[in-house]
Amino acid sequence: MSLHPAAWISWAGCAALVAFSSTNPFYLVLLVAACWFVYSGHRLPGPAGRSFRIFLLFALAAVTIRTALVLFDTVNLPTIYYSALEGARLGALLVVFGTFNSVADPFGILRLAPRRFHEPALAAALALSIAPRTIDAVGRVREAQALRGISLSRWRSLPALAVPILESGMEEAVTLAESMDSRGHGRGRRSRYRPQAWNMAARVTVVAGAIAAGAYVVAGMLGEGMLNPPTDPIVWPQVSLALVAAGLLVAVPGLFPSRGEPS
Amino acid sequence: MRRFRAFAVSLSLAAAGLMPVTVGQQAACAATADSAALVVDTGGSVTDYCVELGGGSVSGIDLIKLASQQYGMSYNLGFGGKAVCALNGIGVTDSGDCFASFPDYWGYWIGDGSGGWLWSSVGGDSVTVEAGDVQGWSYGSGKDGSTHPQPPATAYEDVCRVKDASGGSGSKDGGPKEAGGSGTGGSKDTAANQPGRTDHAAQDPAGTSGNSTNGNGSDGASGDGRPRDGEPTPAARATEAATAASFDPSAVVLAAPNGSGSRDGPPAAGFAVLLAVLVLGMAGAYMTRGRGARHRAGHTSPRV
Repeated sequence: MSLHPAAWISWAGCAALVAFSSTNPFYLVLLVAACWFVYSGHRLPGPAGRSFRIFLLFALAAVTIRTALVLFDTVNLPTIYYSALEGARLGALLVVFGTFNSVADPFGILRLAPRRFHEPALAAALALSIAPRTIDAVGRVREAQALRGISLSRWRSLPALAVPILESGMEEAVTLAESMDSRGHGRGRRSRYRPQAWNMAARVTVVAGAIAAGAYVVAGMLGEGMLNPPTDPIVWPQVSLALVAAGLLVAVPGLFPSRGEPS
Repeated sequence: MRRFRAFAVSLSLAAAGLMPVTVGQQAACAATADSAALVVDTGGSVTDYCVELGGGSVSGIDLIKLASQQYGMSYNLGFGGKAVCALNGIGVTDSGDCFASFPDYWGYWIGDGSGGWLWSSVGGDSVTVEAGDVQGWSYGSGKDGSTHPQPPATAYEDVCRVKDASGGSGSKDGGPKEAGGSGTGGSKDTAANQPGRTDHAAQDPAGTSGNSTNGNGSDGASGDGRPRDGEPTPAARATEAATAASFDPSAVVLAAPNGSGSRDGPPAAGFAVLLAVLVLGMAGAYMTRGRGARHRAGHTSPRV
C-alpha cells in the first residue's frame, strides 16, 4: 500500500526544511541516506521512479557548480570549503525533491485539492511532475529518433532531442488539463476514484517528519548542534546525537515499503 | 594547518606572558610606515594590535587574519569569510552564522584619522586598509552607528606609537632601533594605561636581529606564524608588549584560539552518523535489489 499523497507532501516539506536548515555535511549525508532508504521502499514503477537518480546527478552538478563559483571571488581553502557546504545543502534539497518525485504521484496530490483551488493545484501538479514527464519524454523521443536513424550522441543533434521534448511537454500539459476537466475535476464534483487511505503509516510519517523538521528548526534558532559549521578557520564539524536521531526520523516512511503496485 | 599555527603562536604568547621577567623587554615600538592599527572591543576588554601589512594594502578581513598570524588573536569568520562571527573568543564561535546571537554582533568601525570612529556601511571584505589606518571592531547590539557601541577613541599613534611623545623608550621615528633596552612602560602611556586594555605592538621589521634574550619558543612560533606571502621575518617577534606594567593575563587567555585543542578529531556522534548512513544505505540497496526485477518493465503509458 502506497502512502497517502498528503503524507508525501508533508514528508517532503519536512525533509526540505531539514536540508535547508543545515550546511553540516554530516546531517546532510544522513538526510541523503534517509532519502535513499525511503526511495528504495516506495519507488514508483516506470519513468517517475527514475527521478531519484536524475536528481542525484543534478545534486552532484549543483555541488560542483556552487563550488566552482568561488573562482569569481577570493580563492582559498576556507572559501572553497564554504562554497562546497553551501552546494551540499542545495544538493540535499535536490535529492529530497527527486525522492518526492520518485515516490509520490503528483496527480494523486491534485485529487486532494479543494475544488476552489483546482486550477492552481493543477498548475502545481504539472510543475511538480515536470521532471518525471521530461524523463519519460526523453526516453520516448530517443527511441523514436533512433528508429529514424538519427544518432543523438553529438551536440549538433541536441535540437533534434530538445524540440520534441519541449513540444510534447506542452502538449501533455494541455491534454492533461483537458482530460481533468472532462472528468469533472473542478466542476463541483470531487473524484472518488481510488481514494487513498489515510492510514497509520501516513500518520506516523507526518508526525515523524514534523518532529525532525521541528528539531532542526529549533536547533537553528537556538544556535545548537552546529548546523552551520565554522568555515574560517575550518574546524571539524560536530554533530549532536539528538539531531542525528531527528534526522533518522526522515527515513521512517521507508519502514512501510509499498509493494510496487502501479499507482 | 592554520589552526595549529595559530595555536602555536598563542601558546608561545601565553608562555611569553607568563614569564614577563624572562622576556623582560619593552616592545620596540613599531615606527614602521607599514602597519595598521586594529582595535578589538569585546565589550568587556579592549585589545589593540599594531598589525604589519607586509607591503601594500589588505582588506579589513585580511587585517584580522594578519593580526591572528602575528599575535595569535583568535577569530571566526562566517558567510564565506565575509563577516566576523567572533574575535578573541567573543561572539559566535561555533557556527558560521554570525548573527546567531543577534542583536549582539560585531560592529565595524573605521578610524576617522583623528581618534574618532565612523560606522562602516560595508563589510570588512570590501574595505581597503592602508598603512596608518585604524580599524575597530566592537561587540554589542545596535543596528547602526547611532546605537552600536563604539570602541574607545583611538588614534594610530596610540597603538603603533610613531610619535612616542613621552620619549621614555628612546624609540624614534624611522631609524632602526634595538629591541632591548627600552624603558618599561614609557611608550604605553596613551592607550595602554586605560583599565582593561591590552596593547600589542609589532616589532619594527627593520629592527635588530638575533635578540638572544627572547624565549626560544617565541622565536620558533614567530617563524610559524608568518603572513602567507612570506616576507622577511622580523627578527625579534616575541616582544608583544608584555610588560609587567600593562600585562593582562585574562587578555592572553581570551586570545587563545577558541577550543582549538579540544575540537579535533571526529567525535562519537560522527561515528553514529556514519553507522546510520551505512545501515540506511544497505537496507535501501537490499530493498531495491528485491524489487528491481519487477520494475524493469519499461515505460508505462502517459498518465492521462
